[in-house]
Amino acid sequence: MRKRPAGRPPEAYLPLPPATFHILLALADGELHGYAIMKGVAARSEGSVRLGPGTLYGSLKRLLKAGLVEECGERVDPERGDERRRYYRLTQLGLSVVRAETRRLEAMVRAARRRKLIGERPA
Amino acid sequence: MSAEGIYRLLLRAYPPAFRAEYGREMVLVFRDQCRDGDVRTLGFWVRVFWDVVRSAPALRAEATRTVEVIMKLAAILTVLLGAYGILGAMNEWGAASQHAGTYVLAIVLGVAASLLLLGAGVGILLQKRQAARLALALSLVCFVAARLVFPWMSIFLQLIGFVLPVGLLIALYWPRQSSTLGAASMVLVGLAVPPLCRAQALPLGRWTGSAGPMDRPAAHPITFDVAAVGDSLQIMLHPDRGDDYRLDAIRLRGDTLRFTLHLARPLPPGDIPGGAHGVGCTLLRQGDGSYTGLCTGPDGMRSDLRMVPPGSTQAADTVGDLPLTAAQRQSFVGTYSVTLPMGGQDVLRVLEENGLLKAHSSHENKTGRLLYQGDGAFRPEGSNFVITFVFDAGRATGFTGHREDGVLKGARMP
Repeated sequence: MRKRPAGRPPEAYLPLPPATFHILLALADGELHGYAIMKGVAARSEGSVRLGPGTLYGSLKRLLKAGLVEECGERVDPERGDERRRYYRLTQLGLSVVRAETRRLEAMVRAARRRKLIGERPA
Repeated sequence: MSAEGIYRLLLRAYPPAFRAEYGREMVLVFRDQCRDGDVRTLGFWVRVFWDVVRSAPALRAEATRTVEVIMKLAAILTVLLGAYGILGAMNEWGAASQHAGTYVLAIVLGVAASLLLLGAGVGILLQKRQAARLALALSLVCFVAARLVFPWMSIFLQLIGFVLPVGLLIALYWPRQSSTLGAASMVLVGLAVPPLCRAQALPLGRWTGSAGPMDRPAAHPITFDVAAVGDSLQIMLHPDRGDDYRLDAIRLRGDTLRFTLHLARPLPPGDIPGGAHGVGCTLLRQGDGSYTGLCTGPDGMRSDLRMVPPGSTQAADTVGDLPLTAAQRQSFVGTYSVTLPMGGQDVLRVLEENGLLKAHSSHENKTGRLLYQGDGAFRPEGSNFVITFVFDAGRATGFTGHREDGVLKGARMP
């Protein structure tokens, strides 16, 4: 397990690049392998964000190094053949960071709403 | 070629370490994409290529962060070379029997610049960027001072001395771009330190001097052309007659100057060089800046050699005036038309007065003694050059002189 860098609060990682935020958000659902992350991101963004393998694993590499994500072994995904795949999950720090980023974005959305740049919250 | 084969080729755009870690996973993901998408459409491949184009350069750039490690190694090397440079300068100082003028300043400035650059290397290693910047700025001041003291400092040294600290300063003020520039600069700074400490102690320009057997050391007047070529010295020896020689294997340590004479002109194949070719000389620096010592030929023959730096008048005064018979004096007396180094003309009248030979210059309207140096060579009193006469039927018909500003030639007027 990767250690959280000492003394760095979650806010120090903000703002997150969009691809990184989407990956963390996808991993908030649980342990996922690379292709599942890609599918989750595409589904959550309604197809507006499509990660290629290079972007995905480049981001995962940085997230692993930062201690926001960790590997949790290799296993077969029965839905995707018999190849063993590497699975990833959020660390506690990663969870804190994605929460902090969500709060930051929420505050920005609130500010935009107050200025009537976007409509009222849907019911 | 299959789609997967093409993708495996595209993976080569990524850094090897990244490929080794994630290549297999990426191929698996690509295989999934092929299964879920239509690999025969242009859009599919545009997305694949775009992903590679967007992500591979960034990952390559991240991989080059390892240059930071190289920069640290270069900084360590700089520290070691800086220490070596300082030790070299101290060694020079200890070996020198006399410490005078610009030589002292050269050593002091060399040590100061080395220390400061060494300090900058340590500062970078310890992440003390502010201290490193200050040390670099001060080292630049030392280099500027060195340049003012030694106008003959080589272009190579000047480039290293000025450009590298500036490059390092830029690297330190521009941290995201510092890796490559800094690493390269540190290596070059390391190379710059030792030469800096070995300041050139031989003034450049035209030197005068003499050579001769030990019982007649000033028998043959000689001139030397001392020039800086790159970071090294080039010295040519011009005897009053005969072939010119190049000084090879020049070693200047402290007050000792060593070299070997090498015939300057190329010899025809099979011809064996004679004269002073292959003669080795060891000279010691004197208090007035001149060098005197012994030369030993391959056959063991020894002779004295003297080198007098440009502009030295003290040295010239120590050269004696060898005796001449009345007949010998008369052979020089006459009027000579002189072509000056810059192309001007003069008329020199050589006359005898109270048993002494004198020369009157129409150009300067001045009369001065001619001090005989042997073998038809005279040094005008108070000057540091010699004129060497040529004879025909026992009578001087002309002369040649090597001055600092060039060669002057005289021809007897009818």
